[in-house]
Amino acid sequence: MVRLTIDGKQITAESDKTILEVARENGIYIPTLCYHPRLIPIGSCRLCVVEIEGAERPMTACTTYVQDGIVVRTQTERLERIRRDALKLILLNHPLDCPQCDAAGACELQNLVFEFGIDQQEYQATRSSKGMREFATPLIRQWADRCVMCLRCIRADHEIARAWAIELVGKGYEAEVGIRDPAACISCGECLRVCPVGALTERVSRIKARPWQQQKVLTTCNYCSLGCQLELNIFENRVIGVTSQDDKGANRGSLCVRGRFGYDFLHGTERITRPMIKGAGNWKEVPWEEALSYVAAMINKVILSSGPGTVGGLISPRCTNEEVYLFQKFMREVVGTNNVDTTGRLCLEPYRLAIKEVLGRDYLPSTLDDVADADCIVVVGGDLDRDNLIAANRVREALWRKGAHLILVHPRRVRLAEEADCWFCLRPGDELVWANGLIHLLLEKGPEAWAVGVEAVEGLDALKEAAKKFTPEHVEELIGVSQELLTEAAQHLAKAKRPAFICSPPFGQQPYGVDQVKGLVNLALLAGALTGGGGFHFVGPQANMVGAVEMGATPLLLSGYRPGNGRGLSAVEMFQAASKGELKALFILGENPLITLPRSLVEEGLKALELLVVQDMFFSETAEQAHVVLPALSFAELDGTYTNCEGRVQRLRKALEPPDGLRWEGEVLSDLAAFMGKEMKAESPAGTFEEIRGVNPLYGGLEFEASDTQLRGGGRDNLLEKAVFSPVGPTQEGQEEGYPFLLSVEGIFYNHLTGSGPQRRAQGLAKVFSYPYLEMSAEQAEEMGIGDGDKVKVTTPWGEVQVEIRRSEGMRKGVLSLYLPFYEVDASQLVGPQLDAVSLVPAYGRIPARLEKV
Amino acid sequence: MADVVFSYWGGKLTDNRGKAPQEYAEPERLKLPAEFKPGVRIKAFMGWNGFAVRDTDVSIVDMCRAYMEAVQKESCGKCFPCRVGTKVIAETLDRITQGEGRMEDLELMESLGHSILEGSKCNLGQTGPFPLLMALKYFREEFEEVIRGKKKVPRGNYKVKLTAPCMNACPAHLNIPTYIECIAEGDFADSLRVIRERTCLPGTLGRVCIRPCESNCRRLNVDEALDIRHLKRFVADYEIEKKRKPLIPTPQDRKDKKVAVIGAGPAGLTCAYYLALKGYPITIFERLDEPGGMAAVGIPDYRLPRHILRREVDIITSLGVEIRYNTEVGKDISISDMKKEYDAIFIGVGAQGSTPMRVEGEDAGYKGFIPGVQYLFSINKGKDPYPDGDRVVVVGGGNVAIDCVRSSFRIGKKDVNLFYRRTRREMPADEEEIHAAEEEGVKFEYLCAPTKIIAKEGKVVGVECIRMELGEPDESGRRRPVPIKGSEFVVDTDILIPAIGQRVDLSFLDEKDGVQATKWSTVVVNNETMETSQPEIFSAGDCVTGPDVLVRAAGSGRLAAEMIDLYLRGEKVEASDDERLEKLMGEIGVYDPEEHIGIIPGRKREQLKALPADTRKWSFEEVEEGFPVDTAMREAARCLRCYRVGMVAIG
Repeated sequence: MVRLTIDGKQITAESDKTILEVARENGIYIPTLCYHPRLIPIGSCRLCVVEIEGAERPMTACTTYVQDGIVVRTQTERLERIRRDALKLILLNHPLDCPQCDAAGACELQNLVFEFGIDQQEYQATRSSKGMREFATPLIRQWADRCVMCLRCIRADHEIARAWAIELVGKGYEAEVGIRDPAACISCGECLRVCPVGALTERVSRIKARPWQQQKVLTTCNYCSLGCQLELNIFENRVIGVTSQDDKGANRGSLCVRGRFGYDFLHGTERITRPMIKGAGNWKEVPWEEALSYVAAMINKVILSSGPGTVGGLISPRCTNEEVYLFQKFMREVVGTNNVDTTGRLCLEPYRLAIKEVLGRDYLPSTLDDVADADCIVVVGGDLDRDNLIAANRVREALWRKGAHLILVHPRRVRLAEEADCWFCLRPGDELVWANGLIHLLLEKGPEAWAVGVEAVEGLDALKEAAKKFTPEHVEELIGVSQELLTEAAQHLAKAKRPAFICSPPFGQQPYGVDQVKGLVNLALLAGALTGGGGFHFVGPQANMVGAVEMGATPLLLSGYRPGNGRGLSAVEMFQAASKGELKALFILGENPLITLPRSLVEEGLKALELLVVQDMFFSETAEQAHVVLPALSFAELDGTYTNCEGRVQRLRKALEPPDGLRWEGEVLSDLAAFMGKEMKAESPAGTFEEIRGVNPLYGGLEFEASDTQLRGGGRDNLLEKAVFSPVGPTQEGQEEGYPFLLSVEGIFYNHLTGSGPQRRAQGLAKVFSYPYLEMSAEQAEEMGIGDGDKVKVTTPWGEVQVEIRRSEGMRKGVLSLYLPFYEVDASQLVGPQLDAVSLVPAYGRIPARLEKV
Repeated sequence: MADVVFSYWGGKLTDNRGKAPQEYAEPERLKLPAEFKPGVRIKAFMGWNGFAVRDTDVSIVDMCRAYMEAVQKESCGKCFPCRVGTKVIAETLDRITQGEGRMEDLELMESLGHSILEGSKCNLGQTGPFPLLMALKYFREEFEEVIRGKKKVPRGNYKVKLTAPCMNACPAHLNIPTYIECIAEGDFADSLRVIRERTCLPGTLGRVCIRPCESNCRRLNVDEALDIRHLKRFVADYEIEKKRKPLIPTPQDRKDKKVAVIGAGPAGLTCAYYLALKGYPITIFERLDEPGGMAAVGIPDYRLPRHILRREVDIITSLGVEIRYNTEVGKDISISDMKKEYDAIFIGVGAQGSTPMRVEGEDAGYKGFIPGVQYLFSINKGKDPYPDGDRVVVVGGGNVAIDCVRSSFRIGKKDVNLFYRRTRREMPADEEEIHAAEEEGVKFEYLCAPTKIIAKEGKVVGVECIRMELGEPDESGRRRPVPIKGSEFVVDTDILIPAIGQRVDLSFLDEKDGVQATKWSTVVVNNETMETSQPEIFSAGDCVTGPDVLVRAAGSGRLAAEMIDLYLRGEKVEASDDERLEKLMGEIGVYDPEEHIGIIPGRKREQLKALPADTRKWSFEEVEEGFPVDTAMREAARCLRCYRVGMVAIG
């Protein structure tokens, strides 16, 4: 702590803060323009100059750290003159198109000009007009003449996204923000977010409105499981943009392309607005009562004839906690079955089961802030940049702001590989052997390399015994990893005080997925991720992946991970049962299993059902097969909560009035129960949350109307209490005959609702997302005579699809990765119906495959 | 005779206007060289601290215009006062010189000029308008006359140079402020790219450079100099840690003229790298089985790990440079053979011979008597040079002597001594190195010199020394050591290592090669062009200068590459304007240790972590750990970015 004086006020402050930060904390105003709290200060706008006793030159408050005993003045005549002159120079040749400018009314330059009362300009300099142009992404426009060269956009691009898509071009007065490499742009919009003026504008919404005409509603993003906090900008009951606040949520103002630009599906065409019943092949719109009484009668009939065990429910992990809770309650209490599942569970379950076995808990309390503070980070699974950008950015923050080391496991040279100290180019499914190899090396180094307190953990001897044979030589032999690299990674882990692990699907969604994850949890426990503060994290594709499971949308457990009486059928099992005639009625809320689950099985199952009810916003592929279709609300049309992958319980706030006649799910389900002759009350989202608090101990202390995000559950202390090392040997089988490749299907759970095949409802995203493609090693493609963009046929034991090839430099040979930005390719055909015995999850990774050019 | 009419520099005014030439006073601060290059006169000079006028026909107004345009052109575009303000002034001056000036322009420029000086972020803006303000003060009538006369002022002929104190002091002229700024902004790859424009040995120099830049760092005037050397090491290491492909430019199209390089030391490697980038096929002839020259065999691994140097050499060979190891020129191949096959030859053989101590028994071939460079070479090859001995005495006070003693522990020698004829204060070795050796337990004996080697059965068993005292200063300014009569004493030792200096061995040259040498056995070259007395043969590095520092050899190796390129393209072989200007700025003095910077001291210089002395002394593991990312960025943020523009008016 240091003591200093600012404008005569005695202040005590932390010594690692700048004068500007301390002044702001103490309510002392210093003007700024280039400063942004998320960016490294560069002191270039010169507005924050202050005078410090002992220094003849004015110094910038944003770049000068506080020191003991300094005396600072922020308001003097001299400073006023310097600031006014700087501002006049900024204003030189700034266009006077404020009435046309998107930022007018919310423009930092306007505010400063007003504040300093600048009404004349004595300076002149010639500069040619640059006009308006497309920026590094088609989603953003650049109005270079309005630019004040604060460089925040460039810094955000370099410091947060680390994409280097834009840069400062030229020198002197002609210097400007230019495009360095459009291919490097990830369209995250970080640049747009930090622009203080109207130099960068978004171009998804065709409707624009003045800032004061808009209403900003803070809510939670509905794409991936990070649950970023964002504001929907509403004008005349339409979303016309998305903004964000620096201090909210795990994202602290950052968003990815989906969150910032993927909102227009909300106003997509083909929205279902009326209940419909299919009769003689034709859809007929019917009133709610008719639809619900029909469904109720049909369900009752099935229960009566075949028992409640022949009814099932599948709910989307993008439904709110309240919806999921009521849905599973409906299935369990009204229908009387445990046949309820969600694809969120298919992503989460391998992790839950693995940590359950090793740590004796169902969830971990780590937050992404722990990642940003880690000194060694292990990333395993999906392409974090593409799938969960904000998590990737937190990894980057640790890497280059804190000097952390990165150990990355991925078969492709993904963007993070460029920043990795050790990149392991593994085949999916080889992670367990790899983890055992690192465990072997860490054990060899002795207790100094291990986590504090780990020596007392049960099972250490068994782990030693199991790891004995995984010498670097053996590991190299098994999975083709260089011994040197493995040794280097072990060295980083051994030295690390605060290691962190992040994993994501398709890791875990492979054969023996739970064992795979267990291997990694063993390693994390040994290395200290669970005790050092770095944490073991799993991120996933769906906004309420965690909440859906915690609310009880699982055939294995009740809400709050409480054991139930017996288990129901899992998602895939329901279709298996259906095709055998053992499941007769299925209620699907917001899911699209034709896209996400083994296709042939689902098709067969759907055909055999006596009753298929699909409730969704749009007419999905699955909805077309239904007997009854019900309309559903969008995430922007309702109040409720999501639980993100960190366990933050976050609010969804109603921002839009839904189309006439649409109803909140609670009302739909309680009406349906009533038509079935049962009672299930659900008054409101807030009331349901109250009920959840009562029955789910993890949510007991939480508030529905909390002003900020809240962490559910306790148990932040002593994670070793119930820990037991759970050594696992290699379980992987060899390659299947006739299928020389291992295929992963990626992106399948990410973009539901935004449109499949022809619709591409998120038109903004459609501008930057390509068609599905199959990535393979460029070298291998060359050997096989397959060029970039060539069409190939991929065949697995379960089906085949045709797709374009994308050659990938540095990718592991023998591995294929099918990526689905949208769902123009029926990738679910390739997924097999075999389930992991413990998690009941089908394999989306390490699918045996072969390839032919067509 | 003083020939400068007017000079204002660093606050010192010399105004000879109106005086007869013979009465001219000599300017106090600014010594303005007479010629820019042979036959081209310097008529005036303008720079960060003021300006000087030699010829009265120079238009001050136009010179100010050109200077402000140069500042505007170099402005990085980040801070407004410099970026926009200098543009406003440059356009105003342009208008004035077009005959369209207004009297009120002068006040506007004065007030805006002051604002820019006060409000700019870096030294470019903080000095840019200064000479204009001084011109407006001392030559106002000239401005007013131009404005009143509404006549166009003819444009003068100027040469402009952007430099900085550190950059100018660096023998290889690395663009230090830019590469430091890149680090501060987190763009480590770009930082390395900037470094590689001037040297291909960033990891090596980042560890062992004697860093003239740091003693010319303006931050010294505020608190402590930046750790420029280790920031360079940081970006070089970062590329390796992250296993990135080395970021180097794509070489130009392959040329048909071939170049032979003799010696794979810093000079030869650098020369080869830059020639290879220009597309020339290069063959390096190396006497040893290992690249790096003195950097490899003379610097122990604990200071410069072998893999760092090897990787830098690998980058050079990846450009198609061939290195023929174990090839001794003069024995395995002659210069005249080379002349037949190659279109140009570069000699960079360094200074690897040992200077004799001139003591009795030196030439007797005793076992245990090992010259320092040989001793290090043997250790670096992984061999104990003399396993029979445990006690070591090293004679000398330079870095080689220190490397010898510190390496001795590392091969397991128990008793390690260093004898130096002066005191610790006069020791030429790096202070940090001396300190490290002390920490590791080397016994230092000052003010003594060997007089006789004592041997038994052909083996060294001791050395007789004599005490010294310091007398009058010699030409180097250090006090000369004088023996004290009768103070002889004997020290028992198994190994005696002379490390008092190296010399150039040119015995490989044949008289008929026609390459002239000095009487100190160094190669004679034209200092600007690196040409030897033979037109197709160039030379640089220690074999030209005598034993010198790595960075100078590397810097002149790059320069030689430029010159060889000119030669092979059939152009006139001469120094570039940029090179001349850099030298000129150096003569004028870019760094002023007396300058008052006007800001308060800030964060202290960051320190590298070192292994503890008692564990490191037994191992060749690198002693110092490089900066972690956050530390490097914090250190880089201390840079004051001292760019400044100098400009000469030439006739």
